[in-house]
Amino acid sequence: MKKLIYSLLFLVLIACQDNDTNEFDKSADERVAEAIANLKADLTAPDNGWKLKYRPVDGSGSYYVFLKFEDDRTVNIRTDLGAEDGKYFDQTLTYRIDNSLGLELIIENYSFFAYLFELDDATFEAEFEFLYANKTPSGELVFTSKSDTFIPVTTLVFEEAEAGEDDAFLGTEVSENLNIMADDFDNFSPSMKLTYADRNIELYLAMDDVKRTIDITRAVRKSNPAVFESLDFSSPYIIRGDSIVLDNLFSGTFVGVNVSIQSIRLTTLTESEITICTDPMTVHAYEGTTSANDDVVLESTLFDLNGRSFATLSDFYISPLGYIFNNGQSAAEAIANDIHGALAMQMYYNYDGGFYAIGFIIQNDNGTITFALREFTPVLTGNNLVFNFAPDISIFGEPDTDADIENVNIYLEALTEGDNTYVFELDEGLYEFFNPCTGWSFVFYDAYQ
Amino acid sequence: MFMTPMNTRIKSYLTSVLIALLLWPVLSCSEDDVNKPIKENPTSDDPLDIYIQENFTDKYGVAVRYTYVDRYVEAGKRVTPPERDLVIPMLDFLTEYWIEPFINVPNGRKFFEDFVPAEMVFIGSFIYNPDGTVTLGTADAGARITLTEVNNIDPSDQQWVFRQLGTIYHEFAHIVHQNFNLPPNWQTISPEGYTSSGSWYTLSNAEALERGFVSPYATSSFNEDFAETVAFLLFHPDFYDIYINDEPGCTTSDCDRRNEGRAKLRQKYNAVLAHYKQHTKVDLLEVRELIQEKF
Repeated sequence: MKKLIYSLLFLVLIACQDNDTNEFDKSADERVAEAIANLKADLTAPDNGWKLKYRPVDGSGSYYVFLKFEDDRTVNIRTDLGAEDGKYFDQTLTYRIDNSLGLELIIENYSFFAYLFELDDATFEAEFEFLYANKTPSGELVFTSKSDTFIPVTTLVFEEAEAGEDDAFLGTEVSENLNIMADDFDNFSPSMKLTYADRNIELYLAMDDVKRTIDITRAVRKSNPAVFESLDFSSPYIIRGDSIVLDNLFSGTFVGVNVSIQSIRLTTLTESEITICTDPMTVHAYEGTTSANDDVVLESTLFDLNGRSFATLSDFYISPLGYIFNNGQSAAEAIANDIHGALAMQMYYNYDGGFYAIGFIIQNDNGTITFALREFTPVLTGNNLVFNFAPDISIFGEPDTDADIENVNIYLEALTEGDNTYVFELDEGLYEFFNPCTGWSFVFYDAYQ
Repeated sequence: MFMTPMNTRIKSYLTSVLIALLLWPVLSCSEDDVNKPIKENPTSDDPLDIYIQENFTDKYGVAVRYTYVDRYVEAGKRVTPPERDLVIPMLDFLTEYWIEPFINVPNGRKFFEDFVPAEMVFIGSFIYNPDGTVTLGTADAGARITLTEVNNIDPSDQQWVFRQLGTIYHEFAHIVHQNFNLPPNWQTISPEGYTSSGSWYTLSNAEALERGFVSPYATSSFNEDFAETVAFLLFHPDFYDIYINDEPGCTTSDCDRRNEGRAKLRQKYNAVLAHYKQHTKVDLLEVRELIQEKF
């Protein structure tokens, strides 16, 4: 140990002797500035900017992104993410190159990248800060995510774009049309049907047009819907030009029909009217051709047989006030005003061997609890639930309540108007009860989960 | 070598000596760096930066940070930057609801200019915490105020407006007690009502009122109580009905407890007004009047 201390003291003594010796020609600051300038020069060099095939996280779909960096610290970002009325199709923002542990590229303003970053309360694991990794021999710039919390972190490869490639790759029209279709019924879980023109099969599916995933859940024989097959196919996808391209091949024989889909080229969006409510509703259909050369029509639909599983999964469901929406807007405040002390909606479905009722649990000012429920006799056809209510509200628990009980009917009417309540499965044990005629959604969860 | 408690201590001591020795050359050889020029940020030619400089920074002495810089947010917390197009509307909102009400009352301009925080940070989103909660706004020792939810700007949305004003008035009030301490006897008004560390969120608004506080968060400390009381006094349209004036003809014990809480809040209210008048010469009731005219 003594030797070690003497050695260190010697080092201390000589440390100041070569004060003027510099292993590098330039100071640290100069080298950092040079590295930043070099990266900026690389970023701004291509005439047509950069092409990025961006997958924010394993399991999500991908997006083509075109970036054109300029000397004045602005960057033009073009994508085909149709969220927020196409705001992210074409944005010009500012970027910054910093040096911390290494060179960092930061998109400084809210952008396509920040939108994805904020999904699911900022847990989706997208990114808008990138760590510069290297330049490949073929001139691609490689970055990694600075903010990912999971390993492996996302890698982003900027490839030099060719002239006109952005217009050829970006499917803004497809993206816009899919958004239009998702708004046909404006519920949280839009269901779609893919009908083969010349083959005896329909596929029911759900598409997440932000995370770009597709789930095909059911195949039905077109000539006899009673013949169906449950499916469990999921795939990320990317939009390329006029096509949806699946990462995974959908292939097999379903309800006796052999089909295969790697991609669907979408061509013509048409609209029509349906009259399930007092006023006709406009719905859309998107014609196209699969990669196997089958003509198909993609339509939005209210029918999703998976929704009917609520009837057997549980006999008791709860919908907190925050889970109730009037045309996409929270109705919690309005309910709290109309039904003093309302805590949540409850639905008993074949509870205790045959009790069916729906209504509110109410906490009175003195702390007692009142249940204001309307009993019903259900008729479930597909995922359409008709309630057939008893004439009056039944009171359970504390009979003397501070709430105006009749107001419970306001919300039951919003749910059931015209017997148009359709049930969709949002997640395991989580169901959306949606009425397209009123636009109200009530999201119930299994109370036992 | 066999390790014993004694030689462990020796080793630890020697390690400390070695670290100190290794650091010493680094520190002691920096003489030549003393006269290096201090780095200055280059003037931006971004039109938005120029607008902020001319209309906010030069005018009120507040730097506005709207581009994303990760050091403005604690590690582990996730935020997004504001939209560029919303920065000027947010500045207009702050001018209308925060700056103008203060500078347009007697002595208000001097108070504002003397104590306005040096830096405002705009965050586009909430601050998403690792535990799934969100933070609405923060302040850092009176030097920096961080405002969240800029991307949701909607002056017609009363809840958004109240959240923003609750944050800005709250943080601006901290600067007063940081400079002039809390009002005399502040700690004696509702001493039993404060909550133990980290438990304020278990209280309801009604329980906080019964204890003599405007909000559950106010129960977390004397300083937060002061800042919350000032903020609610300024922005809450029903401040007097909810927090100050007794409910007449109480027939329930809950009602009695609420009025007991209001008695304590009246003491706090008077203490806050007197404290501001004494130290800042600003009448908060005049500021409140200008703010309430805007709703």
